[in-house]
Amino acid sequence: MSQQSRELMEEYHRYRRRKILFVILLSLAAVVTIGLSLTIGGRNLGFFETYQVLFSHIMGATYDPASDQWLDDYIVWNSRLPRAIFAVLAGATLAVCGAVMQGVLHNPLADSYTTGVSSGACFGVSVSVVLGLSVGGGGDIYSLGTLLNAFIFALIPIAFIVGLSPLLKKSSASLILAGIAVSYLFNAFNTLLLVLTDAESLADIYIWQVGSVSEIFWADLPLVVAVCIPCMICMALLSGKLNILNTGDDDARALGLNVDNLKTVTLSFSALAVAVVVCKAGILSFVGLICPHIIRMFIDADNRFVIPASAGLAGVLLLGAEMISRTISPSGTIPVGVVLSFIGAPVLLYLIVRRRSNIY
Amino acid sequence: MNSVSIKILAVAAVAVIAVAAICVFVLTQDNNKEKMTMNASLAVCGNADGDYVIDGEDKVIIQHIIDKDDGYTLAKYPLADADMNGTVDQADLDLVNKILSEEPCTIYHGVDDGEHGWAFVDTKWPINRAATSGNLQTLMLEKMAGIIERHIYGVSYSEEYGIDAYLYPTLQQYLGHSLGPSQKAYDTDLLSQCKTDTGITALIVGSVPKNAAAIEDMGIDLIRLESTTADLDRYISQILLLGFLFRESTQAIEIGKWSENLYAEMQSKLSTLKQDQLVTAVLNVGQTGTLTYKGSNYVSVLLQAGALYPDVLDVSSSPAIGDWIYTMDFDMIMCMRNSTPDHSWYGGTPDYERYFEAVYNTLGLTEPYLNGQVYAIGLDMPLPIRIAYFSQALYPDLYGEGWADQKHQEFIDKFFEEDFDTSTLDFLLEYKDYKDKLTFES
Repeated sequence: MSQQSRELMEEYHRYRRRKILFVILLSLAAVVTIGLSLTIGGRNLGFFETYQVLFSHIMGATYDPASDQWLDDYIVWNSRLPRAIFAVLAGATLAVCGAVMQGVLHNPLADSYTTGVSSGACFGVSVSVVLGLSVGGGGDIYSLGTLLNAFIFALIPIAFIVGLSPLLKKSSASLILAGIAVSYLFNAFNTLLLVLTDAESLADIYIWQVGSVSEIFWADLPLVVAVCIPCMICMALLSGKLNILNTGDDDARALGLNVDNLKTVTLSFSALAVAVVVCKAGILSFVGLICPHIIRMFIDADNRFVIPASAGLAGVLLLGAEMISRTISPSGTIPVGVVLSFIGAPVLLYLIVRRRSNIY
Repeated sequence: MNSVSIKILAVAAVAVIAVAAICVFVLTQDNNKEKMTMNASLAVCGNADGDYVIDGEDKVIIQHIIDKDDGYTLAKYPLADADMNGTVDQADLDLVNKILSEEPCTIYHGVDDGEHGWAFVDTKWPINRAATSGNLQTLMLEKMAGIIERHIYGVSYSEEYGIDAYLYPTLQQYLGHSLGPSQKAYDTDLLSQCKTDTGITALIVGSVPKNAAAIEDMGIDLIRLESTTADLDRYISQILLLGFLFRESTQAIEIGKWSENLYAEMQSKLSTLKQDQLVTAVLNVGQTGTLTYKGSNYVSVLLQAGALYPDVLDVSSSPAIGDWIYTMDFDMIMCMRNSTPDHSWYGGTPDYERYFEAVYNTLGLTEPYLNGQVYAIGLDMPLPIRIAYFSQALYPDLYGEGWADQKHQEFIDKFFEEDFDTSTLDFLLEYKDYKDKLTFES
């Protein structure tokens, strides 16, 4: 191997190591953010006191039920910790799905909202709460039937996009437009239902729609872990193929990639994972859209690194927004979705201005 | 690997994940309780005869059931099972004795969920300190039970409705310190801190919040009230329940009897009306430009006041007002409105401009509006008083001028600590009296 080739290889390895380090640092940042978020809340617990409580719990300390120490332990371990973990998982899921959708649809605007997945889930909740129609019964916004409704209706937009794909002559712009059309359709149906409902149900659905992770407990996590983590792993394992897809559908086919199957599989996984997040926390906007773009500004468009890095960044972003929301309003008056919008909109504008067209 | 294999693998992966999700759901869900029905004033286990109080008469019935005497069964007296273990035995008698001697114990009380029937929950008794939802109808129930001033140490309210400063002066200290983002949601952190600071052992709610399990885990019992019920018997039973739980039963019982007498008086007068004398009214609650549907609790108030309600509104949800309204035959327009932080019924500042404008925007060209047959009353008032005001508006000749105000004043003098004067406050806004002050019609 010539000297020049050796230098090129070393430069490549250094570049690759930097990207790996970047991903690791983002993952560590997510863990650190979880730790910081445990210290924020309406209960008067100091910074070090919180970690003392956490450490004591891990060491197996027990307290008299409903005593002040017991309440400290309960709040840190059973209220703040699952909420923080969920926020990181939810953010990671939305960002991974956003990155995959953007790659598959070759459109920088693709995410769970613009493809209609979030709107479909929202409509499913409205159908259950307003009309009382749901799989398995329910009608209350937190019932099993409502969750299943959101799940099923979230899959409909993806089914539309995947079903229309052969008819749209391989045009990714058309696919995203189809998703937006479905999103508007579901929003219209949703609005119609909300106009007809009573004030109590309307308030429930509105708060859920805005997006909130305020009342997430351990019981909410198994579903998210069982669905979202495997989906994210599957999509990460397909990142190499997504890189090939970045060259364009025709070139990818020429390289032997089954483009249609890849789109079907990845979009299906995305819909499944996003539906679960939306079921639990409502519509959390911007996370899936902006995090992959921010990551691509630093490490370009290699999906093998974009996907895990987006997951880490989105976890930090969503949990950070939740911390800001809780600091401003300990009673939870400001849902995290509102804070995300305030953060995400300026960032998106900045990205649009700074966008490099050779990212994809 | 060929495309067929990839498709099969993909479908299999999705199916495995979906099955895992379903398994998680199934394993983490509780089974629904069986539906149960019953009729009682004080819905507390141990109140075997279902009257207003737990007393010696209940002990007699329980003893008869234990002795298996004829005509005394658990099916006939479902509340005789004081400890809710499915049988009536000495343990039930012991629990009733504890209640009668006011010893701390765990009691069981019921709430009718409507769709799922009666459900019974346990509560540590007696309750001395509690937090509450800031829902105005929940607060009014608590006020009538006489527990606001002495037993409420935290409120979760919404900024939109606030906490009425005239009705609930002692709760003003909690403004800016809401326990949650709204009347129906309660932050776990803040509730736990409230418990530490004040020692609350219960939270009074109108609907079960999402974090109910966490709240109960923290040693705070959830007391669920049917705040929006329009059934007078059920309304009274809520007041009795609160009175019992907080050991303030005396006023609760008096209100129950007073309300029954008022209702009997109204029914006696209404029974003299012939069918062709009955008035058809429609109801608008809120500002959304809809008419309340016939099955709503709010319309039940109107029906109890003696009104007829159009059959076209016998639908499952409130329909938006459209041209069809002009084909409907009705005589009066009623509306019910909440107080807000800036406009209080008991403070003498109801927002008549906004109330009548909402009606004008949607029903302004209908015959009742043009005839001036539009009335507004407050949602803040106790249910029996609301029924009285509606009834007077519907049939003024039947009751005479000022009858509802007189009853309201009587209620205030007997059961409120504040000195409200119904002769200076307006609780029944008649469009004819305000027409000249309204600015939107010009």
